[in-house]
Amino acid sequence: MKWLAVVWATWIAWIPVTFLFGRVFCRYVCPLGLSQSLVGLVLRPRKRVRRVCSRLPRGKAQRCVNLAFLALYLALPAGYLLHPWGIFGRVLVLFVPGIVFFAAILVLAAFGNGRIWCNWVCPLGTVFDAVARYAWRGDKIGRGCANCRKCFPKPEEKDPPAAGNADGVTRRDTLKGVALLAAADKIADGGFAEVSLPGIPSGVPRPLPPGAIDAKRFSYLCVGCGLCAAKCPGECLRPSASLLSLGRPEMDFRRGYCLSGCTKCSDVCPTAAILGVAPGEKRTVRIGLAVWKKSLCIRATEEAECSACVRKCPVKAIHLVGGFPVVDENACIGCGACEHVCPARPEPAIVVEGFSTQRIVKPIGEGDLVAEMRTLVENGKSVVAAKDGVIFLQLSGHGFAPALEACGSHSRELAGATVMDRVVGLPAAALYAKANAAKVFALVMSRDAEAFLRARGIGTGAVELVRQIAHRGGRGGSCPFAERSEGLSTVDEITKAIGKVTET
Amino acid sequence: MTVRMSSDGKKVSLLGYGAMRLPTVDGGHANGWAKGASNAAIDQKMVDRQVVYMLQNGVNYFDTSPAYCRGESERVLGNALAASGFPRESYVIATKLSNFSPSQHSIEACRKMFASSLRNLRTDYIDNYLLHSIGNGGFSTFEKRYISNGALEWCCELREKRTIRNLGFSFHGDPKAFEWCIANHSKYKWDFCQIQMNYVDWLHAKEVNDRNLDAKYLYGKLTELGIPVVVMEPLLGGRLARYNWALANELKPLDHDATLAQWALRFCGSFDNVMTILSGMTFDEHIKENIATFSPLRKCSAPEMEALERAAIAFLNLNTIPCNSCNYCMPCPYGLDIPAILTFRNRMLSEKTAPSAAEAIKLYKSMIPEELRRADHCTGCGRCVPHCPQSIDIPAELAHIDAWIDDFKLEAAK
Repeated sequence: MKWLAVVWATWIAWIPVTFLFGRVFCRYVCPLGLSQSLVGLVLRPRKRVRRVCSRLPRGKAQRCVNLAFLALYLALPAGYLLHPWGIFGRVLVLFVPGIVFFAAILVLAAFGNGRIWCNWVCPLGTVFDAVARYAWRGDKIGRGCANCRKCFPKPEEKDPPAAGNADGVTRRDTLKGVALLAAADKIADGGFAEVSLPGIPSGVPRPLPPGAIDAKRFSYLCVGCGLCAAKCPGECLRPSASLLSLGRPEMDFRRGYCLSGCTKCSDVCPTAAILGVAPGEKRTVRIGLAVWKKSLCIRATEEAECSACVRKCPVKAIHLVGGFPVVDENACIGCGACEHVCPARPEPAIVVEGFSTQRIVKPIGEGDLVAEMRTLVENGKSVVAAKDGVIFLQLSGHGFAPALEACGSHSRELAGATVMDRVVGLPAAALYAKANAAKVFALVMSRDAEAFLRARGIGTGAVELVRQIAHRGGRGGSCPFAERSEGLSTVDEITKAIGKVTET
Repeated sequence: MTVRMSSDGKKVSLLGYGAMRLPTVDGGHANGWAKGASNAAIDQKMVDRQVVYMLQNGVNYFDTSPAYCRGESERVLGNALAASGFPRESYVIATKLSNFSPSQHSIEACRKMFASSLRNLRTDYIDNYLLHSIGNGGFSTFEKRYISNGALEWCCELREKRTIRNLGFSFHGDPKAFEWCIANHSKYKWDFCQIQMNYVDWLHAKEVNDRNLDAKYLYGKLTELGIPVVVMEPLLGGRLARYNWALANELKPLDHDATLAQWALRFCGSFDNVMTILSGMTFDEHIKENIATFSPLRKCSAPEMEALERAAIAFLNLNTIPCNSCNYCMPCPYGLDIPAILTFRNRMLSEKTAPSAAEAIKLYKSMIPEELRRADHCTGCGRCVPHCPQSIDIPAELAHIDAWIDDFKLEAAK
């Protein structure tokens, strides 16, 4: 209910007040309006400038402009830019295009005829003005007014500049290349290798701050005040410079990433565009998915021994398989730590693709899983379970030994169980089918895998699990065995192919 | 200036000038900690002035290496010594066979390195030539660098020809390499040996890292064989000289006028088989203070030695990372400022200068101003690890510090 309360408080709640006492909000509350009055008072103290007053008549032109901007505000996704709180907030957080815009309004107010923005453009002003005309104790023109109309608007009034300058502010860094291997033949000590910021990955949807829940919902509520960006301790939220989302927060992982456990943006958001997330639940909010590109990864291009993304991942969702990073789609929360630390230039090789609707993951409690599996294994049952993309198998009488021996790193935890590393999608389904397991804990599956199982009439339990897990269709590609099992259709063929891979 | 004798009967000042931390024109030093590492050029004029000042005050031992200060140290020092106007016999030049890179292992590369040392130092002979950090990278690396390629035999030949006056080695890392050299002393006749010695490493080097040997053991072995000892890291890269609440707590009450650096230098000078003590003096103040300490050196009394031992234990209890900012790990291929990051951790532990999380982050950012050089950008490639003479697991430490920083950020946001 927080967002309702706050959005109402920003202006809708003022309508009844306006109905009683006129444009109180514009005169005494609105920070943008007050700063215009202040400028007028300081720079031109003698001049009686036009104030906000519903008693003053509005010409046809003014009404048209008013209604046009009101329509823009309500209809356009970027309409929030007109909200006076947002305009003022962007100044408070020292966002440069916002300051330019604000300054333009002040200049108009000082050297034009009073509060031009409020009377001509501001959608809130238009609404309040309309309401205030019917107010009980409405606006007063002021003592000593002879109704001379000198203060009335002139017809040649120009529109204030639109959200200008936005195109001019580009933070793309054109620096390219890193002398990554400069120090391969290290003869002398000291000094620095060159570093450069990566470029912004193009054509990739950026995630919204955790708690924004939904792109549409967010676009309705965010007024672009910039508070979240100013307060972000991870330094990854920045005010956007693009025209349609000017001043709204944008995830930029070049200078930081979303800290796990941090809920600062949702704490400070005044309009509840970013909903509250409990610190303990932060790691369960998935804002996007890290996608790795082999063609850019320095493990492929320079054969470097890099494991930056694997080291940095706070949820251990990235594993090195066969020498390359593999992202566990179910564990990745899209925090951007991997993208931030990726040394590939000019673009990072691992990039977070933002979700339009954020998801919640409920991780399997490790203790429960291990304990339950152990009980089953000790009783001679066969089980299949997956956690963080690692599949634990215990098979009765099936010969997977060569494939499974290679993956012994978790077997200490689960004496008696065989362990399969990083199998997802179709190969996982095949293993599942072959294992004929007594219990399935969780399978990381793609839709292919689901269809595969359905076609063979296997595993309704698994299909149900698929529904429980927030899976992503068609993303089985990060499984190291996916390529090998491509085009194969039967369980035996696929499991055989997997066996070959792990043997080599 | 207290003076000791070298193997070939030359008078050597007990204080030696280490040219590993030369000043740079941007006000830091080339292997610095205060400003972090630097790519700025070395301040030749300042070095010129310092060298003259030291020669005038009786310091005559100058230690360098082809690897120091991005490979600039020998040239800058050579220029300064040549310009000082003092005759060549009046000072001792020590430089090293720093053939760390596999590309430098061949005997041809070693010859080239020696020839370039002579050229850079503007001389036709080297007083003290060292096999550089013989335990680095394990015993097999030692064999490749000096034994199988015949470099050690070649050095002995050079000594016979008097192009090298004294042959020695500096030791860090694998104890096997040290033991091998000691066992073969009758064959190679080491004229001197350079070891890491200070009041912490005297009895506790093994505690700091299991691969180390205590300085007392090393010193004892060398003294037994009559090999003069050159001390390096008497101040642990400044960690025993800069403010440190644990050390100040132990040592200041004994003598409020003495600086921590004086204590550490006096400790090393108290041992008679120590020929010279190398100090990387970057700024004029360091030089003046150290010359005062050595003119003449007062040996530590027994109760003072006990106090130093107490200070060593207090120092160890801080659990700092044993990084001395030698910059052997640099340049990191990914551009990280490794010494500055490790020093940040050490400052936090030993100076207590940042009481709140917000101040810790401020300190971190001020010590490593460029964000791409901070700990999170470590890729774990591990290329720095074999270079570290202190055998620090650098990627693990960086990951640890990075997690620490994230905690600070969260705490500061609350």
